[in-house]
Amino acid sequence: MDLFDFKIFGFSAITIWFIGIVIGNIKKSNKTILISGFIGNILLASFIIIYWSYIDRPPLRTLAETRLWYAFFLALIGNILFIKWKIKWFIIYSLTLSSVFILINILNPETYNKSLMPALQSIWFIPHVIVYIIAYAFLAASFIIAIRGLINTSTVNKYIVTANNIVYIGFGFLTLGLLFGALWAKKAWGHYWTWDPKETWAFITWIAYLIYIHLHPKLKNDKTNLYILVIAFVLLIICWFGVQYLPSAQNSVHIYAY
Amino acid sequence: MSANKWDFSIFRVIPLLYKMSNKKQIWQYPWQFKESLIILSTAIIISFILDFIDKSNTILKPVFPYNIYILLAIFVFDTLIFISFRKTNFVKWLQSGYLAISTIIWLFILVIIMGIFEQNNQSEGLIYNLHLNNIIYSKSFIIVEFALFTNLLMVIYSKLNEFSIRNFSFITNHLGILILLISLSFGAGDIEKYNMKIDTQNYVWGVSSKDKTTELPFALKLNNFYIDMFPAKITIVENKTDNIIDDNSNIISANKDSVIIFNKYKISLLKYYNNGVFINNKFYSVNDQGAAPTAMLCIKTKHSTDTCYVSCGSYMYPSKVYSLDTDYTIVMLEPEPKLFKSDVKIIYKNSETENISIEVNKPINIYGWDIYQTDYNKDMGKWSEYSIVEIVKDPWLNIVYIGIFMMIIGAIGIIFLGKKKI
Ligand code: HEM
Repeated sequence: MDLFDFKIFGFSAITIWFIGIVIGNIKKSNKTILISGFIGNILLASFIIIYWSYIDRPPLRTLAETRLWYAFFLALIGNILFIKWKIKWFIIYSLTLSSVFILINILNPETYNKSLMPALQSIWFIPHVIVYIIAYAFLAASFIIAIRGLINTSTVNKYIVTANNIVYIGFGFLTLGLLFGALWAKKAWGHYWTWDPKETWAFITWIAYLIYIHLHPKLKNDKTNLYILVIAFVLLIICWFGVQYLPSAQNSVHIYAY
Repeated sequence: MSANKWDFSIFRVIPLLYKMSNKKQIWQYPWQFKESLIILSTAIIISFILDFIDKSNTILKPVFPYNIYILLAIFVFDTLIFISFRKTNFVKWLQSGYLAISTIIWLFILVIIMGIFEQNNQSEGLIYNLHLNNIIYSKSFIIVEFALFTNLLMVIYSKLNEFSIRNFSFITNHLGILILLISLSFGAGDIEKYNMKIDTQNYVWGVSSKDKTTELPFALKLNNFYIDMFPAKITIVENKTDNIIDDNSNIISANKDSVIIFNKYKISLLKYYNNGVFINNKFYSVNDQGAAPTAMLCIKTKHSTDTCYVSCGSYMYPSKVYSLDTDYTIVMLEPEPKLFKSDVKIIYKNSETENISIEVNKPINIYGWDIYQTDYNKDMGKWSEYSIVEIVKDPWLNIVYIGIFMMIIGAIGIIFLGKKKI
C-alpha cells in the first residue's frame, strides 16, 4: 500500500471537518461540528488499523507515522474537550491543526516501509510512543490556548484556567513517557538513562513544563504563564524534530526516525 | 494595556520574579525569588570559577562505601535542621516553591548546556575548562543536586503530617523524584559496565575496561551466533549521482508482491533467495559460507522482457547489480537485521554449566549481572565469528525501580487530580 490510500482517507477527513465546521457555523449547530469531528476521527483510526495490519509492525517509527497519530489524537482531544467545555474555537483549532498534519503527510510522502531494528522490537515500544504522542497532543492544545490568550488580551484569566487543566493532563502523560522510556532503555541498552541527546532534550522539555507547574500558582493570573507555555512547546518541537541537527547529537542511538 | 502585547514580553519573566517579592526589603523574611535566585546563582557561579581553576578536571563520582557515607551525612544534616528549626523562616524557605523554581531553572540551564555541547568528548578551551563537556560531574551540577535534595526532603517532611489523596499524589511525585535523584547521583559510581567479546573457542572469565579489571563468578563461551535478517530491499540508483531514487514506490520488498514502475520499465520480483552464490556467473541457491541474499527480477518494457539477478553481496562475494540503461541501475540494499542472538554456554565457579540464549531486548541475569546482546562482526553479518555482549551490574537498580514506580503513580495522580483549584 502506498500513499494513494492515505490520500483518500486524509482528504475525506479534512473535507468532512471543513463541511462540518462551515455548516455548523451557519446553522449555529454544535452537534454538526461534533459529528463531523468524530467521523473524521473514525476515518483516521481506520487508516491506522489498515496500515498497521499491512506493514506488520506498529506504525510508530517514522516521523510521518508519528504525525499520523498526532493528527488522530489532536482531533480526538479536540472532540472530547468540546463535549466537556463547549469551547467552539478550540475544536476548530484542533481540527485545523490536525488537517495541517494530514496535509504534510499527503504532500510529503517519506519512505513508509522501514523495517524495525531489533532494539525497537519491545513491549515498551507501543506504550512509550503512544503515551508521548498523547502528551504532545495535549501540550499542543495548551500551546494553542496560550497563543489565543496572548492575542486576545482582555480575558487572560479564562485562558490560563483552561490551559492549566490541559497542561496537568499533558504533563502527566509526558512524565509517563519519560519513565516508560527509561524502563525500556534498561531492557534494550543496559542502562535506564544515559544522557543521550534525545533523552537530554526530552528531559529539557519535561523541566520546562515542570517550571510551569511550580511557577503558575505564584504568578496567578499573570500573562507570563502563557509565555512559558509557548516557550515550553517550542522546546518540545525542538526535541521532536530538531535534535538530529544539533552538534551534540551526532552519535545518538535514537536518531533513526528521520 | 497597549494593543501590541508581543513586544519583549518574554523578557518580563525575570523582572516579574523580582516584582513578585517586591513588597518587602531584600533579605527580610520570608525569602522569595530574589533571595533564592541570588543564593543559588552565587553558589553556581562560584562553582564554575572553582571548576575553571581546577585544571585537573577531576570527576566527582563517589563509589561505595563513600557514596553511602556522604548520602547519610547530608540526610542526617538536613533532617536535623528540619527537626531543630522547623518553625523558622529559614526552613520555610528551604521547603518553599521559590527555592524549587530557582533550582529547577538552574537545572534547566545546565541541562540545556548539556543538550548543546557534546558530552564526554575531549573538546578543549573554555568548554573543557568550565567542565561544560561533562556537566553531570561538574561542581555546578552538584550544587543543583544538593539544592534539589534539600528542597525535596524538606517539602516532603512538611507534608507528612496530613493525609489526603492530593497529598498522597504530591508525596509519590516528590519522593519518587527524590529517590531517582539520589540513585542517579550517588549510584552512578557503583555501576559496572563492560563489553565482552565471546567466541566459540575459549571461555571468557574476566572483563576489563580502561581503568579496571573484574573477575566474574562465571565464564561465557559462544555456542552459536544467530541472526535473522529482514528481506533485502531492491531499488534504483541514478548512475550520475549514485543516489537512490528515494520515493516510496521505487522499493521492492521481498515479502510483498510489489512492483516498481519506473520510466518505461516494469520491474517485478520473480524469486527471492536468502542465500545464494554465483560461480562463473551462474547462480546457485546454497547456504555456503558467505552466501548472500539474491533476487531474480523480471524487467518488462513495451518491447522486451528480460530476467536478471541482483545481489547485495557479502564479505566474500561482490554485489551484483543490473544496468537498466546508461542512467539507472537496479541494486539490492544491504539487509537490515531483524533479530540477533547468541546461544552461549555458561560455566560457573563450581564447574556447573548451563546453555542459555541472549537476545536483543531480552537480557539475562546471573548473580546480579545483566547480560545484553549488543553487537557482532557487522562486516561478516550472519557469518560473524564472534558476538559482543555487554555485562552490567547496578546495585541501585531496585531503588531506581521504586522511584520510577512512585512517579508512575504520581503521574497518574496528576492526570486525574489536575491542578488545585485556586
Ligand atoms: C524536580 C524536583 C522538584 C522539586 C524541587 C519540587 C519542589 C516543590 C515544592 C517545594 C513545592 C511546594 C510549592 C509551594 O509550597 O509553593 C512543590 C509543589 C508541587 N509540585 Fe513539585 N517539585 C519537584 C518535582 C515535581 C514533580 C516531578 C511533580 C509532578 C509530577 C511536581 C508537582 C508538584 C505540584 C502539583 C505541586 C503543587 C502541590 C500543591 O498543590 O500544593 N513537582 N514542588
